[in-house]
Amino acid sequence: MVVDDRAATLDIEIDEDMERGPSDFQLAMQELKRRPPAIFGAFFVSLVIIFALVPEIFSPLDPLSQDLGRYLKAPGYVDKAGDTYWLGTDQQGRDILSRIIWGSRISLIVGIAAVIVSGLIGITVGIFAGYFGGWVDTIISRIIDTALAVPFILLAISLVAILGPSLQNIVLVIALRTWLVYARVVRAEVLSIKEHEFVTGAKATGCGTLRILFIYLFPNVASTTIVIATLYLGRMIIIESALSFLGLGVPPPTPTWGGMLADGRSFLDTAWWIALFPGLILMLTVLSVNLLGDWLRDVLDPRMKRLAE
Amino acid sequence: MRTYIIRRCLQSFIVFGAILIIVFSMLQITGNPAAVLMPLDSTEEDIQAFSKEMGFDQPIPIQFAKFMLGSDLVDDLLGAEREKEKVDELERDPDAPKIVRTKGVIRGDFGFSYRHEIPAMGLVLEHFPNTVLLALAAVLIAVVISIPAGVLSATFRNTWIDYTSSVGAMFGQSMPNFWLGLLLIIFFAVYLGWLPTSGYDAWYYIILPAITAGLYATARITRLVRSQMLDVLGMDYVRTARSKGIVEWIVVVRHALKNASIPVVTLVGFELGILLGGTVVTEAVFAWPGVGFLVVDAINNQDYPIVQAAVALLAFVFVFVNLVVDILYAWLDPRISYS
Repeated sequence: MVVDDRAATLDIEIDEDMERGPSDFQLAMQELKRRPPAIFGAFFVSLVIIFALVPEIFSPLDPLSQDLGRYLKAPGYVDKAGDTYWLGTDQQGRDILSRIIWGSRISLIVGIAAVIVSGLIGITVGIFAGYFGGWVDTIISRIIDTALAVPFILLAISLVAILGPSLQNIVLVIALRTWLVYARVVRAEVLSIKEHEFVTGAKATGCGTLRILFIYLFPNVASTTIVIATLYLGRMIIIESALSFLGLGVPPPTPTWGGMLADGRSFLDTAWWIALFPGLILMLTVLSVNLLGDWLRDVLDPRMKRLAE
Repeated sequence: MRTYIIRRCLQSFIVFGAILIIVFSMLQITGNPAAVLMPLDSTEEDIQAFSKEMGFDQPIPIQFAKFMLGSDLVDDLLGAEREKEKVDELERDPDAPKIVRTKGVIRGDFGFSYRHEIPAMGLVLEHFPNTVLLALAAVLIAVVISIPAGVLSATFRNTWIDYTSSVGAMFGQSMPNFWLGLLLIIFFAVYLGWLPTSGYDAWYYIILPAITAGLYATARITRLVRSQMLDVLGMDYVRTARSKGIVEWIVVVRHALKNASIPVVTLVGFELGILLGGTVVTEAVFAWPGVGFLVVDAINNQDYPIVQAAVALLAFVFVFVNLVVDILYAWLDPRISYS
């Protein structure tokens, strides 16, 4: 997917429909039709995104409303006012279904924010390292290798505990690991792309370095970074929920899936539903994101199969 | 080969140095370490007094030197008699908090646990064997499940066996392992009553935690075995073996699996490293008395010397296992050391 050498050299916009066949987007959609798992992924991810955007529409009840009269009621419980608690209630009498719907917010916000923050850092560092080479590249590569050799989960837990569990700190700590992945892959891509003639041409026509980096090189690594972003989004959502599970997530009363699972852990023998449903939705979300990631990888960047392991 | 080993050892050494800097900086990044360590309702004076006692008011390079070499050595070097007398005095007073004295990381001392008032590293080392045991059990379960699953999946490609195993691996990678742990407890401990819910009193207490911790490793190894086997089964020597009339399962096991095994062995090694570096969440689910459980407990009590000692120890083990795996890999496949 290298941008047309000639066009870039002359810095002319080529009319999209004139010289090319179906666009990447069209190809991706054709491929999507042949893949039921990816269709499921797309459907489920859309659903969760809608939940996160407008939970008040879908949430049947108030996720924060407590009442010890409703202590650990089983799924399907109907209270005196006639409200049905489809997935049961927790130890404070709160509706599990409503809390799951509202909880989608934190998972998605943290996951997407971490993907963007780490992407910005990783792509910038990777492009600089790959383009300039020499000692800049050596130092950056060493830093990346070193950082990848640090066991992450334990460090993340400690850092969040020390910095304090706020949305911002959680995003930063998670991004601390993932930028390395972007940086390493982008660096390798740029190393080969910078040898292309269109880069030489851009230099010859007097383009500034920053212009070469971000107008000429960046579009060529964009598809790779989109694939990494999708493949890592699921992992970040899992890390966020693990932090919440350990009591290091966004503080209560904000509902989080990980926090709900932690509540459920105390009542495994009496109220299995508290631990079952939030985890189920969490797994389906991550599974859907991963299915989408596999599809994007096959469409945009078939060479990256190895990265998925 | 020798240059490769030396280079890798040197690299690991640098990595470990960097980890010690991170471990030291952990408390410094907030700008006010004393405030992090004191209870939330402490007064400003209390915090400052504590800061002075702990030496947080000294320049950061000196604090780092003390962290690495020990306060006695650094005080000697700087000729800081007053500091040294203070420490000696504390040494004589049995009631004084022991947390101020440290012999430094190079002598294996990460300071005293604030809560238990015993050396932090000692406490971590006491819990370490349980983490090793859990990691080994998890890898064992992962290998026992994933290698047959991967081999069958590749051998019976595009049949229901392949689909089941691939779908299983996909789910395994997407499932948060602590949730699997909760489900296992609900089913095997609460509903069936076959296994205990948590703790560690007998050998069978390890079964559920090991399955939980091994989940990701199982999924990843299954996928790798499958793709490696598919590569190898397409090779000429496999066709030759078949054409000689060798029984299919011998072709699969002896000719194909053996040749597909080098990357698999490497991945198993890395997975072991990852598990040794942190089964924190699994240990929290099952109250398994390992390092991770200790750390979560220490975090809840703001007992940071334990956290620092644990991060340092597990990072050391992680880096060491990776080093061994890399060298082993290069030894099994000499092409690696030349690239």
